[in-house]
Amino acid sequence: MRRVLCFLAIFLASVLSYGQGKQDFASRFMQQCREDTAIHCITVSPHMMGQMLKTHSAEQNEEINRIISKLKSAQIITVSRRGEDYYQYAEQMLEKNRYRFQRDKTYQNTHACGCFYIRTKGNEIVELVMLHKDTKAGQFILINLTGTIDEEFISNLTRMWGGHTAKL
Amino acid sequence: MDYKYIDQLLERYWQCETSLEEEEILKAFFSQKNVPAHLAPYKDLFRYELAEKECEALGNDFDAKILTMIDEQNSVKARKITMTHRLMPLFKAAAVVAIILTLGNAAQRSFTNDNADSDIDYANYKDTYSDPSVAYDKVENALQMVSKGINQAQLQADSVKQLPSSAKDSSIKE
Repeated sequence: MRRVLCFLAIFLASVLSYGQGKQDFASRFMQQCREDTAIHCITVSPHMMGQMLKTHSAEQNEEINRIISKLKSAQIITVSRRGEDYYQYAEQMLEKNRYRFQRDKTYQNTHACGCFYIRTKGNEIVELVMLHKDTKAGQFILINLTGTIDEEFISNLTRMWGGHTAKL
Repeated sequence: MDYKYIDQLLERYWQCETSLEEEEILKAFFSQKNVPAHLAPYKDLFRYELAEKECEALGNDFDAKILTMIDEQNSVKARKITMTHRLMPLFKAAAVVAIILTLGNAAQRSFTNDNADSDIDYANYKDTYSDPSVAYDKVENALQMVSKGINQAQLQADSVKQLPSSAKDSSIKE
């Protein structure tokens, strides 16, 4: 009997280890909503990130390239209707996985609101998830970035389009 | 008594020249009680052969005994097989699969790509666009949106900090 339990334990452990921690949040979200035709997902793999940097080496892109060079992948999910529902669903998923993702900043204005979730490894942010909903247009956007999202990345990013340095 | 003939027969026996009849004579001689001292050492040899001959014969009930023994061995007894024993091959197979998966997983992690430090398997990523320029535009738009979001959140956080405590209290009450 002890041997049987040992076999089962090894089997379960290996299956669980094989299935866990293989996806970023956007991939999981897409997996949950794979039958939903309203969702559109754009995926940029690490290989494509490298290709992008090779083809856009001009001077005017230097700032953006510096930001992109820190990224490994990007996934952008968009839904053009019932954005509120998708926003809530994504938020629930993130809250369920709160041991993996910590809630960070939130923002709100008259027609839109959003929030950020981060996943850290040691002291480094390795994954950033942004949830955004446009309450007026009913649109939902999820941006999932993976890579080395350090202070330099954030300061470059916020300076590039906002002229304001922020911290996550 | 003259044992010359017996001595000669023995001599021929050792040379393997005796006939069956002559060997019978020797056995008959050595089966008697009184054997001369110089021939006594050979007594046991011929007596042993006689005794062996007696033992070799199978009894009339030999076949019956053997058949009975065979029948006994063939009798089927009910054996209890527990569920654990029944499923043992399955468990063994599962354990083998588990070991292979674990080793494969470990090998894959250690040998594949330069993202060994990452816990995300990028091998499953399928690019939406094959043209890097299109992908670049999309990533740029996304980064712009993230930038605006972070800035907006930061501004709102700063404005809340800058509010006097009395204003904060009143806004909460409202």
